[in-house]
Amino acid sequence: MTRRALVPLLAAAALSACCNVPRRDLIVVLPGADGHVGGITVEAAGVKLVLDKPYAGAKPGGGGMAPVDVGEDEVNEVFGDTLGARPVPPKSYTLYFASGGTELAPDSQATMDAMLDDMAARKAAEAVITGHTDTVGSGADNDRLSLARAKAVAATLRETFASKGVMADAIATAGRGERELLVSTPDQTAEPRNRRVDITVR
Amino acid sequence: MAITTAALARCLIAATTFLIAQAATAASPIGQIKTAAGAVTVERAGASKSLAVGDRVYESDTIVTGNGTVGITFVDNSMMALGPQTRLALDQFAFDPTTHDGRFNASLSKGTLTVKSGQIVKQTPEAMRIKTPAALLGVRGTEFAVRADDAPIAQAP
Repeated sequence: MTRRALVPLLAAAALSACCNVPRRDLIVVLPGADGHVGGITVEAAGVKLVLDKPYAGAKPGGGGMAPVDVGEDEVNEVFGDTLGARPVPPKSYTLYFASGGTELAPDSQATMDAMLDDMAARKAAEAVITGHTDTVGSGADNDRLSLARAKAVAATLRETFASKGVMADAIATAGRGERELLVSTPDQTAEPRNRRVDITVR
Repeated sequence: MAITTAALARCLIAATTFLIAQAATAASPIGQIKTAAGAVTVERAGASKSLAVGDRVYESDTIVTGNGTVGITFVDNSMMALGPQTRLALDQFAFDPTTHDGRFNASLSKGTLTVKSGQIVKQTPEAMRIKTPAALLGVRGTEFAVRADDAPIAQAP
């Protein structure tokens, strides 16, 4: 046999060797922490699947793709290390305020404490703080007041964590004025539930 | 007058150059490392450096694990975790914190990844896409896991 004839033969042998090894591709929906599963779409080899239930899976790559049910054991075996590396999920808190100012409503002190504890327990904690107002006063005044409320919460955070190495850029503040009412009201309406600051800790 | 115009033009060019430079250096972080174990590196602008908890990640970063794992929370509250021997490119990320409009495209070229979608997907289903050598995933809102094989895809005979 000539060298020239050997090359395609070797190539064919290599190709068949490659294709006898099953691919290890795996896609699987995990059980959502909140029970809500919107799902994912998977496109491969001209097929499109919708996976929208816990443990619904697909193994693309072998020329065609069918949905498969993946067992919890297989998920833990394949993704155990990865699942263990997941960050603590972000958590949201809402604090309420007295009318017209940045004074925390007495009922919200417990929420503030819980939020501070949560932040202290996280590694590389960040806080996104968004202030809101009710519809009493002008729009411009409420923009200023909502930001002042957010900054008051930020000041408490900085004070609490000053010595604990929370990064200066880990706290972000914004004021939304009366644009995002929790409870819809007419203009110039006092509504305690709208005088609030939303905080996402992550 | 001609001198004044030329000077003005030079001034404008300098100002424009300065603004472009500002825009390039002022790229915002898109996420932060929340968990890290073992060897984890980022490939950024042609250089490779190791990653630790608290480090920021940016659009166009490629995250690479050796024997380690890493967990990242992004600014839209989406989360990813990478298992060992994994390579993930954060190809495109945009997020408007006011409207929650955005886009998140990433490529998993090998290894294992878990993803929990965030505000981008809540606002716009399928605005998050994950590419692997074998498949394209569109995220409608859930938590899921992917293992990508980096062997070449077999061609149909």
